[in-house]
Amino acid sequence: MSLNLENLARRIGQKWIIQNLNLNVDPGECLALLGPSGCGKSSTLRLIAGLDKPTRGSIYLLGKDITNISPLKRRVGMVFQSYALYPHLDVYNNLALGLKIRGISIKDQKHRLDNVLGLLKLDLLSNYMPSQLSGGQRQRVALARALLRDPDLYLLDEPMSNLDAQLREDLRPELRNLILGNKQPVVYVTHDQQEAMAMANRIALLKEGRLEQIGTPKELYLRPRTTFVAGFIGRPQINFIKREPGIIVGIRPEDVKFSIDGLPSKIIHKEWHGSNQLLLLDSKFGKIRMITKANMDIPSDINLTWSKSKEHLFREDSKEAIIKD
Amino acid sequence: MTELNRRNTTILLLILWSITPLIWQLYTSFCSPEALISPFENIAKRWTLDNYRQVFQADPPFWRYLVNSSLVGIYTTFITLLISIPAAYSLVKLPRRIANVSKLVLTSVALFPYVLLFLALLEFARSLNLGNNLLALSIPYSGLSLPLAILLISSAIKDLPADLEEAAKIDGLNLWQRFRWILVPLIAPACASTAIIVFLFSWNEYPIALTWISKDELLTLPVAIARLAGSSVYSVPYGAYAAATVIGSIPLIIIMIIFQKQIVSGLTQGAVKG
Amino acid sequence: MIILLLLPAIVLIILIFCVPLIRYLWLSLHASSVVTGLEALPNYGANWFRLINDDRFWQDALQTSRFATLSVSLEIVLAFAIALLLDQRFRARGSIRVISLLPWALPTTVMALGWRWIFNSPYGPIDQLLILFNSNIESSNFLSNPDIAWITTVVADVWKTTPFVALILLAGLQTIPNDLYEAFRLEGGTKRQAIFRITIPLLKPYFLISIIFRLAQAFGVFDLIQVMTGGGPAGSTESLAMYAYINAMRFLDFGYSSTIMIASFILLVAAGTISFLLINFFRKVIY
Repeated sequence: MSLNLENLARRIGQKWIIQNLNLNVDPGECLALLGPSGCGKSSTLRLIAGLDKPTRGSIYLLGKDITNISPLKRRVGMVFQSYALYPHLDVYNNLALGLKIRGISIKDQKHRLDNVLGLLKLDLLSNYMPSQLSGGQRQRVALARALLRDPDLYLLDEPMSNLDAQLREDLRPELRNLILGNKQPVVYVTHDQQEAMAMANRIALLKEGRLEQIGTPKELYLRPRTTFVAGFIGRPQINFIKREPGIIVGIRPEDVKFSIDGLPSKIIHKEWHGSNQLLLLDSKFGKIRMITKANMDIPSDINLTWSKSKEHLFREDSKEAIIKD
Repeated sequence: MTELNRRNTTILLLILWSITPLIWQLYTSFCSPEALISPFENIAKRWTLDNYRQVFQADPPFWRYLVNSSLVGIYTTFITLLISIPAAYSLVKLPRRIANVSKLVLTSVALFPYVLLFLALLEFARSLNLGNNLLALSIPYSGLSLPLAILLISSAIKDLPADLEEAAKIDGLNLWQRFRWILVPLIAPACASTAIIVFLFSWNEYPIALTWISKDELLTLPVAIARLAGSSVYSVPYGAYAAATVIGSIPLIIIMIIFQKQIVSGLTQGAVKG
Repeated sequence: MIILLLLPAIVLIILIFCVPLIRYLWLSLHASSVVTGLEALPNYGANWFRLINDDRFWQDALQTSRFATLSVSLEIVLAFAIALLLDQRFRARGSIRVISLLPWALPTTVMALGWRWIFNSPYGPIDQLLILFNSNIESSNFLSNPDIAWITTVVADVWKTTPFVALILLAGLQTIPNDLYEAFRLEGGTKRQAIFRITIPLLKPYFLISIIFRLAQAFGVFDLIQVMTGGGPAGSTESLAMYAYINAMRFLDFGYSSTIMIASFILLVAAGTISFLLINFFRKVIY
């Protein structure tokens, strides 16, 4: 075990922004903290970094209680959402500052900096000011700073959210190779479920400061424990249907199929996505989304069906999954 | 008149209004006594440098006052920044309600007509034996400058992204190191504006200097000038006074030209944030 | 820890601002003058009775209010005009800003001396010009006529501080987004209407700050009068701060001087409140 959070809680004023959070992150594992804004994922990261103090609970790193240790001494490598590069220092000095403070000799500084600059392909940018860099380059500098801290733990706070969609997809494998090649645990905060699925070994989905479900991306997708998890993971969003009293049926758009004598419905909206198309249909159970092949002409009145085994069943009162079998 | 012409005329009027009195001083300072009493008539011997000669040969020489004022200005600026930067930082870190109250208090204190404080400050000077000491004079000056300085610098610190300091913490920088490497370099422009405004205040301050300093060779410029004025209200040989005011103005005009951006931004910030 | 950083500032501010006020309050209830050998002996409000019956105090209070009201009103109006002008884009705007700020940056005593010369009779330029155009006038006696002398101090004060007020108002003008004016124009409003309907209402906080700040400063006017007129002629330009100064430094009556200063402070707060209420009143009238 490498990073453990035990009964972690934080209150601001009267509001509990994190409640009874228990998490373990193994060496070399990447755990994504996922959830909508205000769910407490960034707050959790700040507690782990030591930037805020928990109201209750403890944090252990390598078996040592670090709950009351100052962030200055936590040996944590963090990438901020805004990257937080020092605007008055060039790339080289941005990276060197932490080393200098720790009293590392000029020769060692240079050696380590050259290594990291080379690794992140920043050699040619070392004299640039942060304002002269593109978003992707800034992210690499921020990552380099985290690597140079020689940390016991990596914390990434929405590291991709300031980049455009294209760049994000390009950088994902690069980021994975750089930090996941190491032996340290990684905590990765994001609000983008797709990014979480792409980057993380496991996902912890938070809602209003509580852990809603934790598991591999596959587990969250295939066996969501609540309607919230089912709705948050998977795009386009899952359909919720009330077929019988007290039970909510969830069926993913990609599992809905045409049939000759199924549920009659009418197309009210179509989106053509190139590789597939999204249909919005009106039926007696309300609106239903489905994904079909792109090259298909569809009449406006059709019948729908799906396999019973693809259904996710939830109790209407507690919104919790009814475990089948 | 077209709109453009009207604007240009107004600008011209503004410039004339601002500098005519200054130009007149300059002109007067080069006038011979005869020219002085009849400025609009033809006189053979109009121009002279006697006035300046007189000012520089006085005892103590006039540049002495410039040096005194500069010294007080530098001490005051240094002390004010030294105290107000940490104070501004802690103001930003305090809980919002306390910070708001403190800001309100600071603003009203900054508005206070400080002339009214001279008597009590004089008592300080007497009881602690601080009179006739330029470094000591900069203590009340710093105290008077603090409210505005703290407000200006704290608004600059507040404008910095909070991430930067947190990143520095994660990098292992302690409070002093964060001041040294991150905060102070980043708020340097605001510090410069504040420094110049504080310097101008201390350069121009009159009532406290008047009561704290009595030795001739320690007088600051405003007091020295006022002494000239006090000698006689109706005295005619005004040329020497004009020369003194010109010499007293030149350093400030140079400061204004060099630091115009900082002065304008400092005053503007003071108004917007205050 | 954080409080520790604030401590030196708190100490110095209390020492420079709060301690004197408390000391004045205490002194104002004591006799402390040459008569008592500068020792403070309680005199049970005698200073305050003296103040209420002191014609010179009330004359000075009136003069100070008159001076403050006239100069601050002139300054605000002029400064607003200048700010509107400087808000437009034109070449050399920066240098014009510097030139117009020069009067503010120079020491008050320096320029007060200059103004005294300008208003000098009969050798100052204004007198000389008057004589040049109308040789019947012997001398205007600006500084020796009790009815006119205070106006000359207002002129000097307006000259010195208008640029500063203009700069504050200019800062306010620059916070008003241009879209507002464009939207107003699209609705058929004229430029003049825009000034009254958009600029002035949105500039209100800046007007308020400048008025209160300038009022406080003008109320404590000291250097300017001291150098320009020395309080004369016949005490007609003497301000409250000067009267307090004279009592302390010339008559060595610290008890009474403190009383005057506390009273000035009370009057200033009253004046500030009244002007604040007036502004709010006028604002309601405009709409």
